[in-house]
Amino acid sequence: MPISETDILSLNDVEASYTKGVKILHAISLKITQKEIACLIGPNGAGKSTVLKAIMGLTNVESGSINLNGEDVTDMKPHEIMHRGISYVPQGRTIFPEMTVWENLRMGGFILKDKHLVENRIQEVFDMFPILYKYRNQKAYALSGGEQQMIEMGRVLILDPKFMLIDEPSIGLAPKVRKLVFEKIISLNREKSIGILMVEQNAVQGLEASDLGYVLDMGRVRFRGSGVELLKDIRIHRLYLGGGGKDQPKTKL
Amino acid sequence: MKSFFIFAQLLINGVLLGGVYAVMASGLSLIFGVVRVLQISHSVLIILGCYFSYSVNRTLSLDPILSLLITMPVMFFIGIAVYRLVVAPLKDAPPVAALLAFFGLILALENTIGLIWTTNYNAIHSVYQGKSFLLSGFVFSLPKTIAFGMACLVIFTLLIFLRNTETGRAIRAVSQDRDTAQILGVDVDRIFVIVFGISATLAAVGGSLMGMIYSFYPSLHWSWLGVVFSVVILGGLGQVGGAIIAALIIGVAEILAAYYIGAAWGPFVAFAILIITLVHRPQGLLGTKGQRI
Repeated sequence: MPISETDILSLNDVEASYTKGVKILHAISLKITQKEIACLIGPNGAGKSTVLKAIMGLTNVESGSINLNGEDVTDMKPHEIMHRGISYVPQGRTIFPEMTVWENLRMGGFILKDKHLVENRIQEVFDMFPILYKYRNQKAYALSGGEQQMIEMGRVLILDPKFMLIDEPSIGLAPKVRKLVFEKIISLNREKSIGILMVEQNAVQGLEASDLGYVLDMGRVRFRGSGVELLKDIRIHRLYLGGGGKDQPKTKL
Repeated sequence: MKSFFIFAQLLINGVLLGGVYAVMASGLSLIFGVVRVLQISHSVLIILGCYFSYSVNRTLSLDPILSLLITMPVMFFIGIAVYRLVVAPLKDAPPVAALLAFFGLILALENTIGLIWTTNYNAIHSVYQGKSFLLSGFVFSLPKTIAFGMACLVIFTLLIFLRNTETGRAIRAVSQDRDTAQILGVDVDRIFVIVFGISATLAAVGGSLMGMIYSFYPSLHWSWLGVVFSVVILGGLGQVGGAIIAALIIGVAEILAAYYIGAAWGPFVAFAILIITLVHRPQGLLGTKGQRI
């Protein structure tokens, strides 16, 4: 497939704030394609989640730009950005608890006029997550944490996105379920060509699942590299993954 | 045997009244569940709907149920006006501002009603007024039975609408997680407009049905306010399903109290239930999940 057929999402020197003048992000630049999984790691308050919110138009972008395939999508409204193929799975459980699994998925296609298409996409989600088909008529609150995470991912798949922004996919999940969620994320990328940009507190597992990694601190990109490179990098181990890494001397930077 | 028979007859009367209470209270519950404001002027919209039906009934000599066909759409737009003129401008103000504005609306509307229709007792007339029929030995007042039937129809339509339509699902989604609904492309402001319209329409039905059963005057809405609040608190704030069950309980309790204790004690029971609920089960009948539709 020629390169031009792969969509590219990029941030160019983006400075963003929630309250005008109080910048959370300082000149963030990053780029991912539909073929990649990228992971943002870093300490609390580094601005990881803010990067995703800036892309979705949920912050004030004070300077810099966000581009999707060359089109400037900075300052667009969330639903306009969704229409262009970027979906967002916010942090924490954001399912509708008193609605059934099917109703939750159906809400994912709310902005689509063609409800027949929505039903077809729901079928595709059921094929991808058979457990959701099994529980399609159950109220969402009755499902486990991992299953609820699948509802959230399934719900944004209804719009057939090119990119999916996922905030802390593994938060609050048991290790076994966490592994399953990362496997699903990888298969979304490999099988459906959805570019993934995720924020992950669980840095090692996040980087293992990713092609690209960005280490954020104080609203800046401190390191970037392939997931494997970052996992090996002693400085990152020492600063962000806890401890000095195996058999490595503890040297100052 | 006779006392049991009387008790059963009172239960029937209570359930018939409770059905009408359910319609009166469901609009208030819906607004709290979705918009998260306490619409304390709901009962003045109920009496306004009652007077609209009264006028249609008088001027066109229409059956009260048929006059709803005119009253309901008019009240839908009045509900929208309440949202646009009172609620939306105070969106970022502290909650007490909205309460005061609603209180102002109560006074303005109550006095306007008095000016237009006078403060005398009135009643909505129908061909079946004062008639009744017997069924297995029990007396069914015809206006009350018809009012109950209409109440059931309206509540049933509301529930079907909330369960099975795109807009209904969007209303529930906003109630359960407003931010997420917004991210998924739901226009929350539009949902609020629709909810206020529906709520006022329900108020109109409730008021018109009450007007078919009892005579009324402008300040009567204050006692209805007590009833609808008791129902909504007992059912759990914002839970439409809970409100329906609570309405039946309070309807029955009022009728029983009026018979066994004394006619004036009916409203007292509604307030007693309100206070007992607030002390012992503030989350309402249906448990802690609350505040969602």
